[in-house]
Parts: sequence; C-alpha cells; structure tokens
Amino acid sequence: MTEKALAKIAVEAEQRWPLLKLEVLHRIGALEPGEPIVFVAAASAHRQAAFDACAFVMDYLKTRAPFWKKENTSEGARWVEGRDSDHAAADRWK
Amino acid sequence: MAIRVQVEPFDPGAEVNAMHAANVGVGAVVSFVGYVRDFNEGREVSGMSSNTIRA
Repeated sequence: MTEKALAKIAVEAEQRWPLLKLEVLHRIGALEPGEPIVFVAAASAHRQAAFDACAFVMDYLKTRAPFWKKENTSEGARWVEGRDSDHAAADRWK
Repeated sequence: MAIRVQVEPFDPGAEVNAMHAANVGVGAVVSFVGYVRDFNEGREVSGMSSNTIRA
C-alpha cells in the first residue's frame, strides 16, 4: 500500500512536469539520528521542472503516504504526528 | 520512475549519480535527502522506527 501511494504521487509528478527520471526511496525499520531516511530525486532537461517535481513529491509524501514513525526520546517513546506546515506545503500544488 | 521502500541503508551520493547515468539528455538533477534528527519538539531523540502498511 505504501509503495502504491508513492507510485501514485510519482505518476502525478510525471504528468505535471517533463521528467526524464524520478526516484523515491524511503527506509523502514530502526533508524539512528544522522541516518538518511528518505530520498527523492528528479531529472529533467531544464532545472525548473526538476526543482518543482522534487518539492511536490516530498510535500505529497509527507501528507499522503502512509508511514508510521515512532521516536525514542529522552522521556520515552512517542508517535510522530503530522504537522500543519506539511499540509500547508502540500496545498500550494493544488 | 523508481519506487523503493527498504530496510537497507542507502548512499545518497550514489543515488544522485545514478540519476544522470548515461543519459546525456538530462540537464538537471534535483534531489532531496531527509535525515533522522536527534531533536524533535523539545525532546532529545536517540532513534526511531519507521513503518508502512503492507497491502
């Protein structure tokens, strides 16, 4: 389901911009501070399409892809909640 | 288009280079790398786990 959600976002990006390549990579499992957890890259003939597509995919990934994150903190474990700022960022692509 | 959800670590630099590999029509590659922080909303973070819904 998560792969399907990511694929849907990627397909939409390819429909919106003339991309030559698009990659979306997300890690799951246990992660430590400093580790890369997500990677998005867009390739195009000219820079603006690549800039916009990369930002679009990240904004939609944050709000539409089903990832569940739990942090181990100094005061115990807690679920990571979505942020209002993530939704505001995604809304600019409507 | 490539979608990968994986447990294994990855090398962001290698991923960026692969975006251009042998395609001289590519004039621009823009990439984003998200990292796990050691601090969030007022608390120190020693680690985290990320999970998905498997269909």
